[in-house]
Amino acid sequence: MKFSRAVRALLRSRSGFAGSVLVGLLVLSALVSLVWTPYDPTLARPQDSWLLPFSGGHVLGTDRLGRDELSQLLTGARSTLSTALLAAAIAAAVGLALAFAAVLTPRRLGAVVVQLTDVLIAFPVLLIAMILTAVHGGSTWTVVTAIGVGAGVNLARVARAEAGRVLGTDYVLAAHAAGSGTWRTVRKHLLPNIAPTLIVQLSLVLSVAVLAEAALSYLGFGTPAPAVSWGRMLQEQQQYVTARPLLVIWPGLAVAASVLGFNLLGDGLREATDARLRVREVAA
Amino acid sequence: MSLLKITDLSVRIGGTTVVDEVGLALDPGERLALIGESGSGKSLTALAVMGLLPGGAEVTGSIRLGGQELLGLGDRELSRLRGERMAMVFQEPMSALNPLMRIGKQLAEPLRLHRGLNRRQASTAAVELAAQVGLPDPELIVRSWPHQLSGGQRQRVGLAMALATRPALLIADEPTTALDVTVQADMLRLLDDLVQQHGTALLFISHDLAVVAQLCQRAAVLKDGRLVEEGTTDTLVRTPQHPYTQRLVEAARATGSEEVAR
Repeated sequence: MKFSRAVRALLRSRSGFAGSVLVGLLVLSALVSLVWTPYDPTLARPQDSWLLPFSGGHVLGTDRLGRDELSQLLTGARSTLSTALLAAAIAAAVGLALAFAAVLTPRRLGAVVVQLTDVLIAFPVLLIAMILTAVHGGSTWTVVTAIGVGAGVNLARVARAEAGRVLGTDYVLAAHAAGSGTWRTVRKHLLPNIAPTLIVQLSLVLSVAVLAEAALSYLGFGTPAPAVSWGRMLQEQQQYVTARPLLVIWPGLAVAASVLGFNLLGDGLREATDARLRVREVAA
Repeated sequence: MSLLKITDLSVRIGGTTVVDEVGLALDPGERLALIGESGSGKSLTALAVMGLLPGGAEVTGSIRLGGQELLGLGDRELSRLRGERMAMVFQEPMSALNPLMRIGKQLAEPLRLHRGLNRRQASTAAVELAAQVGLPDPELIVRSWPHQLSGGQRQRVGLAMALATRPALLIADEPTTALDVTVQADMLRLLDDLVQQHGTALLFISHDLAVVAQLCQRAAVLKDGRLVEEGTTDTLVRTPQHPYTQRLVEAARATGSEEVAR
């Protein structure tokens, strides 16, 4: 079927393959951490502090409080991944709602929505997140909402352009001529035809969300204390970076690899969908 | 009583009058051609009948289908009429089908919408529809994607879709313009046959007098949004009154069309 062909095309492209592997690692770490970590990632054991890698059964060593670095890394994948996915879901909802409001409502109302979207795009995601946390206190939901809404307005602009293009096609006109109502047309004709673009955009939203989550946690606006987050690991270790550089490098690498993974996945998806278009043109 | 009666129809888009007080009437089963160059407002007249004008278009006048006023109807009421009482075939067969939907599903869409067929019945109906318009190997065609069909085949699909519910009125907006000449002739013959069979009234939009002479008894000529001449196709061809019609006839003679040259 079409889906499996798209997946094959994705894995054939170099960036798609690398992206899939990196994102796969992230997902795997998060899943493994749910059932098993070498140690309790939050358990402080002062007698075991500053252990070097491969000593006392700690593969990547321990931090100032004697917490196992590897366990923290694995558990940190959880909040990175869940934040990214939830933010992307919110971004999709916000983006689609705004895009459809812009193209499906009467022209004057649509123009207002477009203006509103453009104004919202001017606010940096991090700023929105910090304001929200300052008002409501740091929580996963504040972070997720801020990133989701911030990325959503950007997504709205792309989705609006795509939706406008599809709505202008003859097959949408033909569907209306056949008696299809607005919502049926949106479901059957509009959504499937803008889906490839949206999926590519959403994979980029995921990478932005990973970075934003790490940045917010680093700045102290992120997921609050007992939960483990790569951003906060960075922040906690930064004073000791000269003594134990590895403890900073690992979470830093994890963030970088995740962002890179989602970016490459996005590129790969774009190539895969483009390739599908090319095949279609040749066949036509 | 006429099936379709258009009186004083004007369409304004962005302050420009693109259709100017046009009046037309079409009896049940009758065929009327709407002739004019591109930009003459013939397609917009058709879209106005279907209620499919782009947002921001101002429409005044009256369009009655079977006595029912169409202008001012809500989207829901119009949706019920579109594809049921009136249907449309488009100019571009390449873009008039959803590239991500199998042919069978698109063919049966009007039937699912208006006759409430379930998925099973719809797929059977799709095969019958495909066979009716002479598509080869209907069982296979309904399972293929639009890109796997030729232009002529796609236009047949478009025609089958439009006629699926046996509408009283079919609007064909230059349905053969984008096709190869050889395929054009087949397509016209098919359109002729099906419209005859079902007793469908046809509003045929074209800029090609030769094609119109083959297909329609009556024709109306549009220029710059105004109706400049109307009459039987014969009279129009033999004794064109308006300078624009005269030029059209000359152009058709120059390209050597038999019907017009006679």
